[in-house]
Amino acid sequence: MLSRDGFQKTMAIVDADQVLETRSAPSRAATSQIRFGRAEYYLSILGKPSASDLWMVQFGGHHLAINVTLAARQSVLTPTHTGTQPASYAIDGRTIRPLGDENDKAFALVNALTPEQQKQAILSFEVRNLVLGPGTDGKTIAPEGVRASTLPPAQRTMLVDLIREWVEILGDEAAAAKMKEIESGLGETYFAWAGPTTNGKGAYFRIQGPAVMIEYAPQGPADNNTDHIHTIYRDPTNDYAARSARR
Amino acid sequence: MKNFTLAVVLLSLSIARDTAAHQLDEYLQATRLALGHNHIQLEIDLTPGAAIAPIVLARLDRDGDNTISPAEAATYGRLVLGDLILKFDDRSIVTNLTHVEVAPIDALRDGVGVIQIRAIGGVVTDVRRRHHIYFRNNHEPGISVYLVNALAPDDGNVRVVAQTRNSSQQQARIDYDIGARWPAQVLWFVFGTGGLLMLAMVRPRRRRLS
Repeated sequence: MLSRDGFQKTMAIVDADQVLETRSAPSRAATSQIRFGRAEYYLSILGKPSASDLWMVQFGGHHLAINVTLAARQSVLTPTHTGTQPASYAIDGRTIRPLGDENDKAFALVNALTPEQQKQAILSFEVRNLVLGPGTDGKTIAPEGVRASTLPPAQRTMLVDLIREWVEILGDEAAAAKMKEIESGLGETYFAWAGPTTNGKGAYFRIQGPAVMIEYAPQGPADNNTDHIHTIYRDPTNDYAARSARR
Repeated sequence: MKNFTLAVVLLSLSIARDTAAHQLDEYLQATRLALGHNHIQLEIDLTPGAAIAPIVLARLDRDGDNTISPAEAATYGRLVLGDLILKFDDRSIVTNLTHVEVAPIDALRDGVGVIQIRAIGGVVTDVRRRHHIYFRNNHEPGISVYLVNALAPDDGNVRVVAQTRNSSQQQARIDYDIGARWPAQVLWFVFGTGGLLMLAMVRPRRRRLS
């Protein structure tokens, strides 16, 4: 169901949560109901597994909600939430950044824009959380930022490569079909940015197209927001395989 | 399919629990605005962090019985609306509460509960004109983080042409263009009504001539 990279990313998020649990548990009040870590992640099957009807697989916990809706031969990954805290940790001497590629590719893209393109892409206000987070299924906001149709091929390739970080959590065949759909609407896709453009600092970004909505939102005030990230990946036309459900 | 729909609802709630867990000491206030033919719709989602939840709960649970009654929820909804400034083409708009939904009190205490407020205000949208909405949220400014966005219009003839906010998103101005289909619809109505009236006048005469 998930790609090899998607599975690794998923497990890296779960491991980050275990690190958070280890760090935060000693200072937590004994009466607190809050728990993090591997033990707080659940696999659920919704509906009856079927080759023809809709059903779903969910794997999630704190900072993760992988939702795969299966409709006949289709697999739909939206809406899916990824997040991490801490954003970087070490296991066996290896540094792990669960959402590091998303962060680095986005910073590379914003820095590849010309000053004129940056003027369009960079919003003049702070964005401190996800705009289309929980409770906003089916909502579409007016797009902002720089339109991909105005970008040269090299920058468009960088944008597509950034989008892959979410889409390719899913297995190869389903991800390829989704990427084809997203690329066909690339001309009407927008890239918006809020915050500093120096990698290592926290910045919000959003990719919005006809069949994709991705947000990456560091949590907390601007001077302390690099260690806690929330992201959401949606398809305004097909969350929970809504197109198949309507048929 | 019914089971699947129920499952999706449950799933949405589980996503809400995951992603709503944000900064403990912030009151996240997210507003979405939509301009319709003769109204502005407001969707306001309020998520108090666990550390400031007692401040919000003191205003919500007025009788302190650890449950939020529909009356208490509506009173809080109107309190929030009273803290907003909403103008359409520089004229103040009165908003009416249409819906308020409050998460269970334990979820609010844990910082994962959302208060959903929906409201509507009447406006007159002249055709073929540029209009603008001014919005400012003065609710709990000392502890709040704001988001404000224009929803993509459902009507293809309404277009968002610009959104400007201050740095904290506590206030915004949204500029709209109203396209040409609205006058065309009005013209069709006028011509249609006129045509029917003429038919009604002509038909009796024909009968008399024969």
